[in-house]
Order: sequence, then C-alpha cells, then structure tokens
Amino acid sequence: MTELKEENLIEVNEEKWTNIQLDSQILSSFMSCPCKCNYVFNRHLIPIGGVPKSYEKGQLAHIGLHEYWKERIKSGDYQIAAAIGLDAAKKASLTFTYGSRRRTRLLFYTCRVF
Amino acid sequence: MEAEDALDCFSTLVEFFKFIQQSSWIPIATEQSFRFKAYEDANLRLRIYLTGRIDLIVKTSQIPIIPVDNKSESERWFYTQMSNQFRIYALACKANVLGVQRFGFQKSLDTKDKFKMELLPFDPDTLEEWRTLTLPYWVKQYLICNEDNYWPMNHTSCISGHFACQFSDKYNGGICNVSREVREQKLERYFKVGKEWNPMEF
Repeated sequence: MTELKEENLIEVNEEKWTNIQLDSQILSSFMSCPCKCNYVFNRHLIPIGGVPKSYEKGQLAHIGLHEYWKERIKSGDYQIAAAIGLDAAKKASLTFTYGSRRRTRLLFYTCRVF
Repeated sequence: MEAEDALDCFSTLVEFFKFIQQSSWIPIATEQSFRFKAYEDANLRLRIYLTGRIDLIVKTSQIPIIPVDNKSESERWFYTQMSNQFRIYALACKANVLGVQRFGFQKSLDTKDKFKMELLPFDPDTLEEWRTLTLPYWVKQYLICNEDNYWPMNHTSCISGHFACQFSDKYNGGICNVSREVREQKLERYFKVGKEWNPMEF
C-alpha cells in the first residue's frame, strides 16, 4: 500500500488528506497476515531461491496468452494470433533458468522444431 | 523451471488456441491497467484508490463488458466470488459479472474442462458493502499497523491445505516461529530485497 505523493492530491487547498493506493495482492496479503504483508510489500523480501517453478510455468502461459489476445484484438486473425502467442512464449522461455544443460539443449531444439 | 515444463506449456497453448476459436466472445482489451477512487471519507480525510491490471476484457451480444482473469492451474481450483481481486476488477469495470478463464495443464481432463470459462456473478449490494465497509475497515487497520510499526502475525494463515507461507516453519526451520533476534538473521540469510511491487509491471 502506498501513500500518494503530495502533488497527486486533488484538492490541494484543503487540510491534508491521506491518500492510499493499493491493489488486490497487497490487500489480500494484509487481510491474510499483516506480518507477511510487511515482509513482502514493505520490505520487498523474496526468497533467495527465487519464485516456485509452478509460478514460472504460469508466467510463461500468461505471456503467450497476452500476445495472442493482443493480436486477436488488432487483426482478428486466429491463426496469426496463435503463431504470435506461441512465439512470444518460446522467446520468453529462453530467459528462464533451467534445471540441467541436457534439458536446456532439449528445450532449445524443441523450440526450433515446434 | 524444467525444460519439460516449458514444452508442456507450449503444447497447452497450442491446444488452447485451437479451442478458443470456437468462442463467440469478442475481445476488446488485454492487460488493461486501471486506477480509480473507490472510497472517500471527508471526516477522516481518507481516500482509497484501487489499482490493478486486467488480463482480458471481452463483450458478448448480451453483456457489454466482462473482465476476465486467466488462471493457470495444474489441479482443479474453485474460484470464489469472495475474491478481493475479482471484486476489484468488477468495480473497476462497473460490471456485475467476471470471467475466470481456466488454463489447465492437466493431462487427464477433456479440453473443454481444462479451458472452461467460469462466469462469476456479483450481487451489486455485496460489491457496495465491500467497497464502503470492508475495504475502509482493512485500510484503517493497515494505517494503524503503519503508525505503530507493528505488523501482527495471523497464525491461522501459516498453513492452508497443501500450501504453507514462505515464512512458516515448513521452510528453513521457519522465520516467524523463532526469536525476534534470530528472525532478522534468518530473514537476511534466506531472503533478499527484491524490486518494489508494482501491479502495473508484467
């Protein structure tokens, strides 16, 4: 949750207002556990080991879906949108860290032939 | 991430793209950011703004605007109307229905079940109650915590089903269950300071 800066105040001549800006993640985290909310959103703590693998897989799907819908809105063409969506996911996948060299080679190869 | 996971994701995307061609819903926006004033209390001099980013907005011949949230899942989840995220999206779009687009990685399910779009209707009064009572209540609690610099633990949230909080004793012997001095040392050891949270970032 962030307090908005002074210049964002709408009625500048009034007695000072408290302006709070938040999204669902911060709110849900605070409602669930204020301590966790403080660690994650005020102190910005993330595990040394990085995000869980399942989260990364979801992220990858999200990227592909976003590009797909963007193209669908732009051109309305299903085939082009599908190709662009898949291509975006493939490109994004190469930025992730993988478990082993052998598997990474497998992925790079499969990306080419997919 | 394992390479197999990436490949599984690609094949699921291909399957989804084929499946979604049958849908008659018309996409009108994707990754749509929003920020709106949800609440104002002149006596307390308090304004609450809600922000976020909606994965997809569609329309149908009957409904002019439906915010949609993509949910990737490896097992079947139940999506509730009580979700803060869904309520905020509905309020942002002034809609009384929200779509949850499932994106399932399960091998055992039929395509139509893996990619089922759930429609969650909202009673306008429950949205109003949430906006004018629930939301301000929790924001006031937040301001108290911030003022006192005391952020209490909610011990009933540490473990929920198969899921455990990353600060619970399921991981690395735990953070919240050790003395305050040791807690800080363990936070330094097992956590790093990341980027400030920005809901608008991809």
